[in-house]
Amino acid sequence: MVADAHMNYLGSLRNFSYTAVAPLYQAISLPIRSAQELAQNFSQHRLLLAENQNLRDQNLLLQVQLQRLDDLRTENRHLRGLFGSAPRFVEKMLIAEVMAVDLDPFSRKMIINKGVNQEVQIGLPVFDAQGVMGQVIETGTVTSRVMLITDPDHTLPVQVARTGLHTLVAGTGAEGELDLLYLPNTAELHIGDKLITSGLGGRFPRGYPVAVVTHFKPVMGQPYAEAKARPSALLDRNRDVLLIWPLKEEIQQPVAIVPAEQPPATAESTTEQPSQ
Amino acid sequence: MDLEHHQGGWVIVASFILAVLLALLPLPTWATFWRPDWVAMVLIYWCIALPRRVGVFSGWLSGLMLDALLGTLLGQHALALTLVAFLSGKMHRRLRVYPLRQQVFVVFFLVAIVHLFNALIRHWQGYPPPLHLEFLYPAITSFFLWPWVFTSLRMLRRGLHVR
Repeated sequence: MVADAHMNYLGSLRNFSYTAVAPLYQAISLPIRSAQELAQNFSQHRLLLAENQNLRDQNLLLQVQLQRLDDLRTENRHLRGLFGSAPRFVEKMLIAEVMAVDLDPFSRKMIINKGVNQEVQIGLPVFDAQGVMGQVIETGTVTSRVMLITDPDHTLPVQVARTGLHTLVAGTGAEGELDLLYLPNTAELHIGDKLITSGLGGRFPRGYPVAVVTHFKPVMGQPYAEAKARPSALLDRNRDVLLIWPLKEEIQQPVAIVPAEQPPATAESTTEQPSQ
Repeated sequence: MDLEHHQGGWVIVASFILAVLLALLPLPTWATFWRPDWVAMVLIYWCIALPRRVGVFSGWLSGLMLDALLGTLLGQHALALTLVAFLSGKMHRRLRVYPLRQQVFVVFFLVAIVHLFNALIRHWQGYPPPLHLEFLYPAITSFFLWPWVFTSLRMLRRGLHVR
């Protein structure tokens, strides 16, 4: 146990045992998912129609936004051309399904139904429609284990979207609560501020929403303020998640919108690896 | 009849696999802390009923499987269940003659050991301390479910001639 906690050489054993027991996930998840699907098949015609209508509306909205996106993309390419920087490419994405399996109730992890066969690797970021969910920590052939950002072992470098202030977001083990670490008492932060990934640490692509600040209290006499945030992603209620393979070029450049007077606080963002 | 003549080992393995699957079964969030410790209960039963076949090693193996599945530290459940297997194997003569209402207290105590141990390991790993005595809830549910587990496994053992 101590070896597993403190050293890395049990990794292969862990991976082997994980792959060996992974079929049991299918055994428990399959009947439950099929039962849910069966229930869906018998769900009322009226409900399906309503859902269909909802999706149509949503689709229309997204289409309209997409038109704007096209325009913005052209503009962006143009501006990037002016700056002489290399254009970015479309990231590789994959939709995975969360398996109906309960893990240790004290940690925040989940199993998804994509694995090495789908080129999933350890460290791959996982998203939902609202924001960052977590990262892959173990891979089997057709399943992998994802550590959510609320897990007490997880820390992620972020920045405040409004000011560009850098900080770290750490999981607490509670469902909808994240801690902001190493924020000075004088930090410019408001409740409701959005936190986005900063791209430091090299695991998560930058610019994705992570959390919304819910609590900020300077503690005089302490070096750092007390701050909490609520994750933007629906961590416990999702069925489909998105895996995004970040671009090498993109994750190596931290965002440059930090105002000049902001000290480059918390550059010690190498803590992004879960301490497994 | 030969004492060392084993048979029906698949029933034991199947009951362990069923217990592990029940440990993974998705429950609503409020119920996850109340999940009875199926694996520990099945282990205790077989340790009492067939101490020559199921013992410390089976406990270790099933615990390791549970660790790999639940994503806990490799060896966390394994060590706890090894301890439970040892204790119940040690006490099997006494436990067999206890009436059920007395057995449930021993089961409560053994399941509590597992979860106390798990809580201790989590604490060493730096997890935030659990609120109240959440880690003892599984012992309470196991306490109430033990009579059913015991009688159904005994029927299974007698009906299928596992020995």
